[in-house]
Amino acid sequence: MSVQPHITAAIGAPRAINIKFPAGNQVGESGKPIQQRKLLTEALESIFKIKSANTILQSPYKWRRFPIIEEPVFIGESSGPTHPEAMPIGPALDELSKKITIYMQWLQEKIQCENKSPTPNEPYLSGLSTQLERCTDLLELIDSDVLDQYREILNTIATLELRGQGRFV
Amino acid sequence: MTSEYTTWDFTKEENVKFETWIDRINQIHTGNSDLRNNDVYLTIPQKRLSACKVGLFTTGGVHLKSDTPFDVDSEHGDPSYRIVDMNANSTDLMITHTHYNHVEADKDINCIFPIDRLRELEDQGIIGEIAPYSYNIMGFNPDPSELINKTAPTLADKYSADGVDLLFMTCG
Repeated sequence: MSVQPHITAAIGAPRAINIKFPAGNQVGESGKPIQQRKLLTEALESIFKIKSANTILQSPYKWRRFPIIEEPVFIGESSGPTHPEAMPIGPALDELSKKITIYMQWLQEKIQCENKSPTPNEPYLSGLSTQLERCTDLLELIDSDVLDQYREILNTIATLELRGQGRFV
Repeated sequence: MTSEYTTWDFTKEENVKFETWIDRINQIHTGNSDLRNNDVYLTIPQKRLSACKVGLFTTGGVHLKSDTPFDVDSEHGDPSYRIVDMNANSTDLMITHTHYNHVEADKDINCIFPIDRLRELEDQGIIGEIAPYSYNIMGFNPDPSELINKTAPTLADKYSADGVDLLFMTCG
């Protein structure tokens, strides 16, 4: 199971499944067994779909937007990198994603409403649709490039902290 | 939902992304060696998933708390492996790895090493059985020569001797 498909592809692997989740979370969010079980089961099942070497399948799931709502139950504590300035970036991105999703639902309702009208206002409809497309693109950006950059920032901070303690990494 | 899994393509942009990453790694780490698999083979599973003995492997630095941690202070990495008895309690496991953010996995090891989830799949009959041991490594190895020539063949032999039909691997 890969989270960096460009590395997996360049190195060469018989088969892989890529998921747009952060490194360390390939099999899901912490404390969410239903999500983890679903991801693991589907990954194992999809192995049987691959018929040629060097094939990487793309999982359809998006980080923090899993279709099943589940309250996390934690079973341990972390002593991992916890830079106070960096850690809020993740929740801030999640919050932004939520707001965009809510806005998209509102746009969809407006479009449906306008479509039902006996005399739909075409320029208004077109404007709403454009905004919906822009929101979709923005969500995709957060899921891929922004998440990658965030991951890089956290990894670099972890490295710097250890270097600061005199430990080479 | 598995029907919604599509094929990922290695585009020109992805290639540039990889080369940029390799350049950065070469600048940061001395003794880095860019080794790739020239020959990649695919073995088609001969059994149904419900009849397979499934093994677990991670490069995420997962080991028993009672075991010796991986050497994360060496600039050359650590190509050794740690054995995990798959009957172990998931709370008896820990991560020693400084090259990815494992804050979430520290709270719940199943994020990267789904040992509890595999047990549930075995109970539900989705998989046949769980392999008795997991042999894990820590992924930071700037020069993977020893990993390729010594550790990997050893681990392949061990999983094979344990009768593993299908090995689920996560990276770190």
